[in-house]
Amino acid sequence: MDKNIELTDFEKDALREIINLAFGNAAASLADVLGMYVFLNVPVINLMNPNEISSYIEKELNSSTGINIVEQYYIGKIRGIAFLVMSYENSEEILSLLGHSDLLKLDDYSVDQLAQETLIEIGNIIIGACVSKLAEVLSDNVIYMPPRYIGGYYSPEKVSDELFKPNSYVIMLKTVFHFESKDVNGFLFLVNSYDSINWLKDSIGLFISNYV
Amino acid sequence: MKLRLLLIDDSLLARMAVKKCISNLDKFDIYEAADGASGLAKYREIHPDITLLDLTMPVMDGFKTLEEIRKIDERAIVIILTADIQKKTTERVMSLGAFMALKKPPIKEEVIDALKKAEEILSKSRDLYG
Repeated sequence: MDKNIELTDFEKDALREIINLAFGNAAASLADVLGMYVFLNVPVINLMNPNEISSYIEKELNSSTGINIVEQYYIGKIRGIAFLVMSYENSEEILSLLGHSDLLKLDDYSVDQLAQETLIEIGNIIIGACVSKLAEVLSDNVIYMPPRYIGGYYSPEKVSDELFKPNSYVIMLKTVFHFESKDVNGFLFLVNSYDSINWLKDSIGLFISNYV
Repeated sequence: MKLRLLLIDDSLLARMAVKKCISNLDKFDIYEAADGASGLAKYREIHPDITLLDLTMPVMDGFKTLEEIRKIDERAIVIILTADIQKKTTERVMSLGAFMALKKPPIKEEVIDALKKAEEILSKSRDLYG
């Protein structure tokens, strides 16, 4: 894959705006479901080798403890993996986000099991809203694999070689968010295959042409 | 006399998009800033009639920038233009004194309508306060 086919600074600026729209949409969907305010940070775009994904995510999460990750594959002209990473000390805090605390009264489930289910639910909402908006703005159509809870650490061997060829590149999109009155931080990473870089440049070009 | 319009947005494309929406550009002197802190400095320097402000920005976000602008001038007309479409975001910026909140991407009719309303308020305010 030719890294020379890079996004120009102006294309990156446009992509950041598109990501802003996508994350804004995701935050609104989540806020509707949770009934609480979601604080958003400025999205970041990086180009890297697939073997750098793990260290990049670890570095970004450096100061966080109690990490839990949900991953979801999406496939369209843009394709990749979304990682929703939630950082919290107390699983009950996560349950309270969706009002699932009452489920603890059921003997069959542990608090950690229920927290995992809640994370998958949140992942489904936020990843779906974000990637769908991204696809809509870029005139793409994506399908999703079911979200999966993958535990407390990101493991590079879990990444599909088919999606991210070892000698290729990935486009990493990241945003950080946190919830009103909750001790829970969230990170959303969209790791996109570089295979469709030419299509992406064209789609960004079309988006730009609407506004300049 | 031309109106001073300050655009504060970290995206060059977003600032270009707003300018494209304004059909009567010659009515305005347009100033730009790429983050909240430099936007605030520019605000102090030029005292714009109308400010268009993004929320999710580096260095100083739009919420803080809005608060600081309102401390400088409690009658400042600040129109928010944001991708953060949460209802509570709109409520929060309105409670901080925003004149209006518009959603990104900007729609020509909405931007023109907001500027027209802002001009009416400016005109009334000048009649009252000189």
